[in-house]
Amino acid sequence: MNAIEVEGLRRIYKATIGVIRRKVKEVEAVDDISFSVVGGELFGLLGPNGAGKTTMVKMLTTLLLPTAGTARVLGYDVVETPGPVRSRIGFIFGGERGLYWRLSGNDNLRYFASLYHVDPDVAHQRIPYLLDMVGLQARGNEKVEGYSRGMKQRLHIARTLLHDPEVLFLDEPTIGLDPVGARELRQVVRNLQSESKTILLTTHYMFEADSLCDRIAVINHGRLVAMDTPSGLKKNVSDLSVIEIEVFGIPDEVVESLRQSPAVHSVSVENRDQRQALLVHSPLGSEAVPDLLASLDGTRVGKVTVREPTLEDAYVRLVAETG
Amino acid sequence: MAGDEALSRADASARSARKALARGDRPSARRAAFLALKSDPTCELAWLVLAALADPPARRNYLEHILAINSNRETAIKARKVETGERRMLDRAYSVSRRKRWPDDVSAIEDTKPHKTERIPASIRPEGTRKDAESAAAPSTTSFVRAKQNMVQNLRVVATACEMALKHAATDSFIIFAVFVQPLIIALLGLYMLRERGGDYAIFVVVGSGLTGLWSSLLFVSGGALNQERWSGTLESLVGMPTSLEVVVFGKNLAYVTQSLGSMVLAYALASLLFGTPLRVAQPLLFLASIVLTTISFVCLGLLLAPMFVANPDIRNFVNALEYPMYILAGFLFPIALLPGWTTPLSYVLAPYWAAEALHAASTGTASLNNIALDWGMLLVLGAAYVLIGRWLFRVFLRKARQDATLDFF
Repeated sequence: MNAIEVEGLRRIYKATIGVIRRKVKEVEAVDDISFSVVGGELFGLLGPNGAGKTTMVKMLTTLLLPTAGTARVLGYDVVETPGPVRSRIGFIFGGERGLYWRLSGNDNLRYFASLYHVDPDVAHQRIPYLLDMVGLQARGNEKVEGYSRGMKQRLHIARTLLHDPEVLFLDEPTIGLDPVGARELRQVVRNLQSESKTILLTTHYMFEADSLCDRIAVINHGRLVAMDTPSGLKKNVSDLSVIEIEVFGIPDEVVESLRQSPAVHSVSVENRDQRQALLVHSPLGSEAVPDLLASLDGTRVGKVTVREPTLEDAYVRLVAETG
Repeated sequence: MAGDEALSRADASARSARKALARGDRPSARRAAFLALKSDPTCELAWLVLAALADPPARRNYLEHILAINSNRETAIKARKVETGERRMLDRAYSVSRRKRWPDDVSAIEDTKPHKTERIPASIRPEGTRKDAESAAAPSTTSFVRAKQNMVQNLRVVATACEMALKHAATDSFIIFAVFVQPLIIALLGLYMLRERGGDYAIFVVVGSGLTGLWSSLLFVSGGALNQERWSGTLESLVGMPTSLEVVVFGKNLAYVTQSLGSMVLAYALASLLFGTPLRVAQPLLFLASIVLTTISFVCLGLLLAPMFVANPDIRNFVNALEYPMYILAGFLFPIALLPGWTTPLSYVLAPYWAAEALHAASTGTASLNNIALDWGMLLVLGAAYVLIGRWLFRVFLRKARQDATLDFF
């Protein structure tokens, strides 16, 4: 049984440009995407900023109308029958917004419980349980404005579980959290997974997707570019090794010349404070290192490591190829 | 042997799933059922527990799977019972009161007849689930029970939204100023300027300026509240929930209108005490009934304004222009007879006009029962009309907001 079914979904945003001679510009945020998520599955949606992840989640949670295509959640069409969908899903969007800061955590949950039509007696029992589950029981009577970002995120999780939804949409739930907070939140997601909830998760953190997701769809420029298990996606780059070279101020032309090398499949540069990390995908592995270092003559080089590709490498390759 | 071990593990897990279900611990029941199926994918009891936990249409899928595993008569009966009547048992098992427990053996479901007229104890399951179970069990009472259930749920939302809006407002210094300090200043000025005119005229102005305060509060605080929801990112949450947005807005408007009403009464009482001018209401009972109907009609009128804020946050610039025309058209501070004749029909479709008529008449002692009955009738009719039009506007503007992606736009 598929909990989520998406067929040929499209969403076009229209923006007006100019003051006197106005022109309408169309931006295709989601372009003909189809996939399905089985009940109890944790499905990841990965993609760079602006790829269309949040737009997809908003369409599935009935907050945005698709331009074309169909989407069903638990068999209900998100456009034709939004009511039953809303009763059965929970959603959180990353960040601190979406809560009443001047109310206490307890009052926030009581309010949202009534909006989800949870019986007051049940809510009375369930709210302390959820606050305890997300580690906020001791702070439940304090105003949300005094909460840290991680606490607000955890309160979001409690909010979305008030009505025991079958399907959860978590849009970048760990964004902006410190490592401890993010780890705690991932544990909560794992617990939900063990309760056989269907979860659609979007994230920028590859290790998070790798450790949590049963399957992952990668989208770029609104298009679905790959969909597989994390290990399946990694197989796409299993023929390549990753050579990571720490450099200090590498000129663009050097990077371009590396790209032309027959031993190099792809090159990317990550800025890390005062230095950069040159990530070279090569089928030759450590054998390619001497030639690479020779090509970098004149550039200050730091640490060099050769490792097996990760999900992040698979993702970077997919995004680069479809960029 | 390994196979036997797996079967016995599956059986133990399935029984523990059933027990967890009986005590209302759904997550453990689900987890144990899945564990059982991991050891034995054909474990009928585990599938039955999962079916009992699921909502339609997933439940039907589980049941079809059970019948595919074992299509004998006994299994078919169990499956059928789970599909139709068991939800009541589940809800009862899951409800906090736990008046009745889930039977120790799922087969006991067969001996349990669903109570057709008994109200299902509310559980944390989604509304649609309860509806589906109910329509399966008692089709003849479905629409009545559903309507009753909806009404109870909506009243709960109105009460909670009202309570939370008041709590929220109590921490907002701007609202405290607008609600408590500003009316006091207006009251002091009004009574100071009119201190020579005598008690009757004073009460006319007091009621009129009180209505102007109500209208301004409705226009700015209620409309602004939706924009505030948008800025704080809660508007999307509200729209994505099973409760209709207009019910939430009704609750919030009720809070703002009663709050400003209360604060004005307090302000004028304090002002009259300071100036020693007694503010006597000539027909207090009629005045009180008029106040109640005025409050309701103002809250309903707010339902016409809010949808525009949902569609476009910039609408506030337009709404600012609505403040003074209402003062004039509704005759808050002077009779509409002073206005050109063509404006009269406009006044007649405004509930504040009838509210002003009723309140002015009851406060100055000029209300006849016939006249005030007409005012009250118009307040009720217009209030109902505003609700109907407001609901339609909410539908249209919410669709537009979902189309134009403006729910999170600020």
